Amino acid sequence: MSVLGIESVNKPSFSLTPSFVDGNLAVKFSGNADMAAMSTLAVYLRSVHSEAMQLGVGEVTVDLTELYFMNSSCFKSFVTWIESASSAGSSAYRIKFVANPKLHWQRRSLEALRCLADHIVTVQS
Amino acid sequence: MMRLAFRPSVDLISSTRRFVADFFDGVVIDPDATSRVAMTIHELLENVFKYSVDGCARVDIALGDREEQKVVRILTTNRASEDRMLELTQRLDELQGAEDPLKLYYRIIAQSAKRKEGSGLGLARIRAEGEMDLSYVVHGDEITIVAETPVEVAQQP
Repeated sequence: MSVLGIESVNKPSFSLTPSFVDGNLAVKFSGNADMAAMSTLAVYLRSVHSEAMQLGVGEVTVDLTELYFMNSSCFKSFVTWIESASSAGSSAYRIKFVANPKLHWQRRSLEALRCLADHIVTVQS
Repeated sequence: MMRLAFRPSVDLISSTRRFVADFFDGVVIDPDATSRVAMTIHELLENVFKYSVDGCARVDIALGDREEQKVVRILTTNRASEDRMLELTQRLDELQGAEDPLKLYYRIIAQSAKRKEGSGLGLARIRAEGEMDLSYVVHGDEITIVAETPVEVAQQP
């Protein structure tokens, strides 16, 4: 049984793989976050938030190096998550996005997310 | 010019985005511009999928000229309900009139966190992240949204 309360998601065009190693919570995204992924992602990010709070982690790493596209609805799920993390008071944790510079959309989208809450969001390329 | 007339599905929207990206990859020099065009197509088609009254869309994609510059011009046409038409034209007017599209985009992002339904971000994302000039034409219950951005072309297609 997994130590984590969140499981992997494997859909035909989209997958999410969580890990918790040495106190570091991370989620790897692969594929395309489009309308088919929208509802799954919204629920999943709420679970990631709950898990991060429960584990008391200082940072969650979001690996997007194999996420080829994200639509605005999925982007909004990240906005909601960042707002939740940001308003968690003393339990607030940081969110680190790991980007792929070859996927050009990521630069602008992740910069927008960073600007939303630059005290907790960082982007690594 | 490329014209597609179809009823977008979730899978078709993604495959259209990939097709457009592959096509412009050989035409436009800057891969960032290709990425912006592909994102724009995707967001516009999702709008049609979600809000068109009959689910049908006409998409025109062209490489054209504007003041001695090459531009990629994307037009999507669909029928919309009265409420949706009002919402769309108000948002497009707001985006067209914005002195700083990025600043407006960040404000809309912050507002979107409170929305229960829809993101309300698609067109603002096209304007700010896609660096597209946006305009529209309304004929009865039909709206054509025009997105346009300057590009540097490798050669005449």
